Amino acid sequence: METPAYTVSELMACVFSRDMQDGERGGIPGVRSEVPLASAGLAVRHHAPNATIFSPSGPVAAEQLVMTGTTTDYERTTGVASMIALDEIFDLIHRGTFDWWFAGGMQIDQYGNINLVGIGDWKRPKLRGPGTAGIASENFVGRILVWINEHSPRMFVKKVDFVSCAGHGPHDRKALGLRGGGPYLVVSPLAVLDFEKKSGRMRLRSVHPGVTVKQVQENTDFELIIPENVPTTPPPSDEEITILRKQVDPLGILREEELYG
Amino acid sequence: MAGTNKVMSLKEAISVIPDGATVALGGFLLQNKPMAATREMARQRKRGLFVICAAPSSLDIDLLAGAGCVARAVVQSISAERFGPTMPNFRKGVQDGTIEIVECDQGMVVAGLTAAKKGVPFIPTMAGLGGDFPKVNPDWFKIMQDPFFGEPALAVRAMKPDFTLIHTLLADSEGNAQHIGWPANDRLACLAADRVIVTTEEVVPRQVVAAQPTRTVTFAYNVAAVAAVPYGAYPTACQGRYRYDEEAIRDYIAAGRGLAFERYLEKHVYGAPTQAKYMESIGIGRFLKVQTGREC
Repeated sequence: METPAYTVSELMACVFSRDMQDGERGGIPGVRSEVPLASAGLAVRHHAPNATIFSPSGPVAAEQLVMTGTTTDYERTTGVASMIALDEIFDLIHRGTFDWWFAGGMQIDQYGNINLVGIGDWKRPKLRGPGTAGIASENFVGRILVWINEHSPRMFVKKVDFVSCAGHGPHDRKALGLRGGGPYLVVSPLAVLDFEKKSGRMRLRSVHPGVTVKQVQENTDFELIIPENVPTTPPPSDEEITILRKQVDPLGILREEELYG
Repeated sequence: MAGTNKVMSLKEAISVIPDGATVALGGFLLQNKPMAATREMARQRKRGLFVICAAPSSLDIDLLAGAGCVARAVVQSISAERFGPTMPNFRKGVQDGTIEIVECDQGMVVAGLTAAKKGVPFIPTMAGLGGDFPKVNPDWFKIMQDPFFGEPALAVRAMKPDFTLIHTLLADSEGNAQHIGWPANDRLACLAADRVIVTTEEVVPRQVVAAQPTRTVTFAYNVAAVAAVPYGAYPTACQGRYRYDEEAIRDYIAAGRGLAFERYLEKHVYGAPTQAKYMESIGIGRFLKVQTGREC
């Protein structure tokens, strides 16, 4: 079957969507959240109609999981049956309500520690980032789904300059009081990665179509765990692309980039 | 006092804020941001402010930073969503060391404001556990042991605003202010504050807000001022009235990136002493467009 041309953001949305199970409770953040919103919108239409999706403003019905400009647009706070204030959404996160929630990052290390604060010394950073947003709270959800917009040695680093969200090491998660599952899936423009249970280190799960294992390792500043056979990330199916473009992203926000395939 | 008329000009409303005050900003990112209020603070050349971003913030704190008003800030996320991953003046202020940071997760800001609301000196939270926050701000955050079961928690010191600034769709003259969209963190930010300054699209009779009391996010007892400022959230959105102006947001960021920000301030802030003059400096068509979604 011929696969349609797609953008990397569309592929990333499909990868996350496939990880979301029917009946789960998940959350999309309020900041820089195009791919998360699209993937949740795709999942509820494609295979997870009974998933409960929250945005920072509360539960979002499937018909509102449509990309407008930003996640907290008025479109997602009208016609809802209930709304939640910002303090209450954090109550729900901390008490373990959610199976998954999304996190972005400007640096991620081999254990999945994520930095959104800045590059360099904290007091006088070379580059001040946006800030942690809510990702430090996500260590109380089941799976943290991490999307990274650029796969390069400056993003995939040996050690993050600031820990916004703690990963799987070198610390003991239990001793830190972290009750959630931690970073679970990392999707970049080159590959899908996850974490080896025993060592807590990042592992290559699949490379996107046209990308080599060597390329991924070269663009990563630490040594990845690379299994003997690394599959190719399945490209978006016809059905996924149709749902994405017709129902989730009619404005084409995810298509504002180069097409592949 | 019940029934007190607190309606005044924006200039008068903002004039009560002294230099060095702790000021919380309401809204969320590009929604319901108190932009007219921050422009007025810049005009009045407030200095040494301690700004608490009650929720992720954007042009509001950035304009204050660019105008030299900010000494310290409680922040969790400063950006303009996909229009700008970081904000230029705030970023520069932090990089240059002129703005001191209290580094937070949104859950930690919630905890700090909740402690202030409750009148307790600190509150334990799960937010921030595992992160570097207590390392960089030990005066604000400490790892503590739950006294009952011994589990770790993060103690967050109370964050008490002298003033909270919010922008709403409606308010009555006493200061009962309402959103029809998402209130974000406005209710908590108002309950935590000593005093609240409301800017609003429209001052309405009391019976209008009384028809839907659950929408009210303020409690008139601590509202110090109500200023009617149509388009007071522009270029961010006022939910239920107008969208954010993408073009104006991009123009703002471009001005902040270069040497043009002084000119931006001169044109749209210092040289535009009222909301009417500000709107003239932008062009009336832009306001109609964000309200109607088309050229008018």
